[in-house]
Amino acid sequence: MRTLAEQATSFAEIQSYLVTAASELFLAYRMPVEHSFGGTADTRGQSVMAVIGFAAENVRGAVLLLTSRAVVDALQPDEMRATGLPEDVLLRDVLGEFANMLLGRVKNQLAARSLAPMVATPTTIVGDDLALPAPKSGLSAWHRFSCAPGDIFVRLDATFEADFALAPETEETSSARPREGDMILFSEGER
Amino acid sequence: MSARVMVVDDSLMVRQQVSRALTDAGFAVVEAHDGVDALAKLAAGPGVALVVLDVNMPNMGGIELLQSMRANGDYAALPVVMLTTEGQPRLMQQAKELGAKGWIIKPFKPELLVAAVHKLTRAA
Repeated sequence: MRTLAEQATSFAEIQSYLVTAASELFLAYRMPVEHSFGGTADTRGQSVMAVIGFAAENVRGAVLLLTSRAVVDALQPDEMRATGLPEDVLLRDVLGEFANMLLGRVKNQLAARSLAPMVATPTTIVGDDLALPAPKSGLSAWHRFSCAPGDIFVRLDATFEADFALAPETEETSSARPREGDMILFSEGER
Repeated sequence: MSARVMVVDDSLMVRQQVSRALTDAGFAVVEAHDGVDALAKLAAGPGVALVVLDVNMPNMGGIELLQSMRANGDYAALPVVMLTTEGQPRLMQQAKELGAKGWIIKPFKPELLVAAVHKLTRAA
């Protein structure tokens, strides 16, 4: 059986992947961010939230994104504004897709550690004064990503089974790790 | 006449970005928000030359849609490019075995997607 300290180490490693993934993702959308630890279980004013669950054989959890309308509006691609759809629908869709891309990037890093969790589709909400209590079991940590329009809070929740361990990264698993933006044409064997 | 491309993704944001890239490159685009919607639009609409397909979607995901298309004689040979956050070799292999022509990991580079769509629609 793994000790709690070993589980905490794995949790910290997954958090470091999350921080790298979030920083790179927001930068890819022309929004450089500054990371710090901490977050909030209670929000004031209107917020947008997206959450996605994940599960593998011996670990399960969720990634939650919480931010203001102004931040999501700044992340929103111009093409979306011309759709004429209600603003709340657009904001929820944008943050949901960012949650999806963020977890996808974390997954791609975890692939180098031989962990391939299944991922759900995002659930999103726009609302006032959202309360987000910590989960009742497992480990949970908030991260803050500060950018010009405001803060983006990201919470990682994870519950580990007793036998959970991240496999060591090898040259082989590292080189096989998929990279964002990669295109593979199967017919030609191109990459 | 411009080739018609179907974009299947549950994210409006992704559909809009892909549609913009493809329409700017001269393609006609039809959008679907999941596999069920895609099958209905394939059956109802004029000929689609290629499908850009997400993996994780509610109701019917990309791999399930690919399986349904390959089981249907009308769409069995329709070129498909997967566009997803997923990078698992197991899923990529599954898509390849189901005849997908390519796999792109989000966020995508518009110029790469357009080049792949040009190449595959010309080859079809």
